[in-house]
Amino acid sequence: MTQLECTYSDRDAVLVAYLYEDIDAAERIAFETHVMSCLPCRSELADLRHVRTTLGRWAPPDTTRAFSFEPRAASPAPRAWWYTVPVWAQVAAAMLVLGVSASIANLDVQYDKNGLNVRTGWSKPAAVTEQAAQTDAAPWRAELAALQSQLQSEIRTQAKPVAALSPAPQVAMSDTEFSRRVRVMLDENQKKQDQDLALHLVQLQRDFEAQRQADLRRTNQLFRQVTSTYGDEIAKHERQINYLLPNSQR
Amino acid sequence: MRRRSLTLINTALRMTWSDEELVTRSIGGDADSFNQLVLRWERPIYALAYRVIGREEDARDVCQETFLRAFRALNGFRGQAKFSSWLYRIALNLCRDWIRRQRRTPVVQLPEDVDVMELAAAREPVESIEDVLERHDLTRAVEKAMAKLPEEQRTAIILKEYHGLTFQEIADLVGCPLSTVKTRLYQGLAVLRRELGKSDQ
Repeated sequence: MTQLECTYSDRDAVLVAYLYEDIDAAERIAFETHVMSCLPCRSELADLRHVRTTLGRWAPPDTTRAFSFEPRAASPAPRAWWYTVPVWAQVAAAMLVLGVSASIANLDVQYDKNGLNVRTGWSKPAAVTEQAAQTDAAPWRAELAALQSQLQSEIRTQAKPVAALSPAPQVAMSDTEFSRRVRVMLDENQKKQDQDLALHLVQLQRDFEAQRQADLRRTNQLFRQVTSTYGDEIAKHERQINYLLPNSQR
Repeated sequence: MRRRSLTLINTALRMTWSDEELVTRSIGGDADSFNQLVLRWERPIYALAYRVIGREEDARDVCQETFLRAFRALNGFRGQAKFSSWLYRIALNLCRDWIRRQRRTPVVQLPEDVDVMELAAAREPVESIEDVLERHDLTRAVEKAMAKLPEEQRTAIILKEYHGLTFQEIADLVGCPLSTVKTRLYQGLAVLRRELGKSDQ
C-alpha cells in the first residue's frame, strides 16, 4: 500500500527494485538515504521483507523425474521404391530384361558332346564357321601341336651340325621317337621340380633349427638375468624360512 | 566396466556444458544432451507450473509438455534469448492455456484438507508432526493468498521471487514494459501482505 505521506519520485517501483536488489547503484544509494529518514517506507519495506520470507518457505511438493528422452532407434533406411512392387511383377520384369539382354547380346547356348557352350556377340558367318572349327578341337590339342612344332624346331637346330657333316638325307622323326623324347623331357622336368622342392625343405629345416637355437639362447640369457636379480632375495627368504621353520616346530 | 566408466565420464562432461552447448548438441541428434537439459531445468519448470496453476498433477503434465514442445521446436531455437527464458516462455504459455481451460470448464478441485497424519507418516522421520502441520498451514496460507492475485501479478512474483529473473527478463518474457513489471510486483506484494497478515491473525 502506497504511503500517502511519502512523496519520493516513482516510489513504488523504486521500493520494489530496492527490495529485490535489482536497482542501479546511484538509485540504491539515493533510496537508502531516503529510507533512513522516511518511516512509512521503512515500515513497508520491513513488511514486504517479511512477506518474502514467508513466500520463501513455500515449496512445491517433491516430484520424481517421470520422463526422459530416449534416443530414437535408428530408423531403417527408406526402402527403395521397387520393394513396393509385387514379387510376381519383379520376376516378370527380370525375365523381360534377361530376354532383351540375350537378344541384344545374340546369346547362343549349345549343349553337345563337347559340353555346355555359351557364345555371345554378333559375328560374321565365316568367322563363326572358323571359330566353330577351332572350338571343335579341344584346347589341349592346340597346345600339344604347339609343343610338337617347338620340339621339332629344336631338334632340327641340334641336328644341323650333324647334317652338315653327313650329307645323308634327313629322315623325319617317327611318332614313337617323338613320344619318347617328350616323355624324357617331362621326366627331367619332374625330376628338377622334385629337386627344387627338396632343396626348399632342407632350407626350411635349417632356418627352423637356427631360430630354435636363437630362442633357446635368449631364454637362457633371460633366465640368468632373473636369477642374478632375484637370486639374493630368494636366498634371503630361504634363510628366513629355514630359521623360522625349526623355531615354529619347537 | 569400461563402457560404464565412459558413460559416467560423458555424463560428467555434459554437466559442465552450458545450456547453449547442450542445445547445439541436441540439435545435432545427441539425445543425452537434451536429457541433461531436462535434468537441469525440470525442477524449476515444474516449480513454476505448480506455483502458477497450483495443482501437482497438472503441473507435472505442463512440465512434461514444456520439454516435449521444446524438443520438437529445438531446431527453431536461434539463441537470441537464453535457453531458460525460452523454456519459461513455453511453460508460461502452457500455464495460461491451462488457466483458460479451467475458466471454461472448471473442474472440481481436490478437497483442501489433506490427511496430515498420512502426510507426516510419508515424510522423513526427522520431521516432527508439529513441523509438518506448520508447513502445511503455511503452504495453504500462501497458496490461498497467491490465488487472490491476478495472473499477471502472480506470474511476475513467481518469476522474480522463485526464479530470480531480472525485471528486464520478466518484461521480455511476458512482453510488457519494465515499469509495468515493477508495478505488478508491487501491487501483488501488497495484496500478499494483506492476505498473509489476515492468516497470521
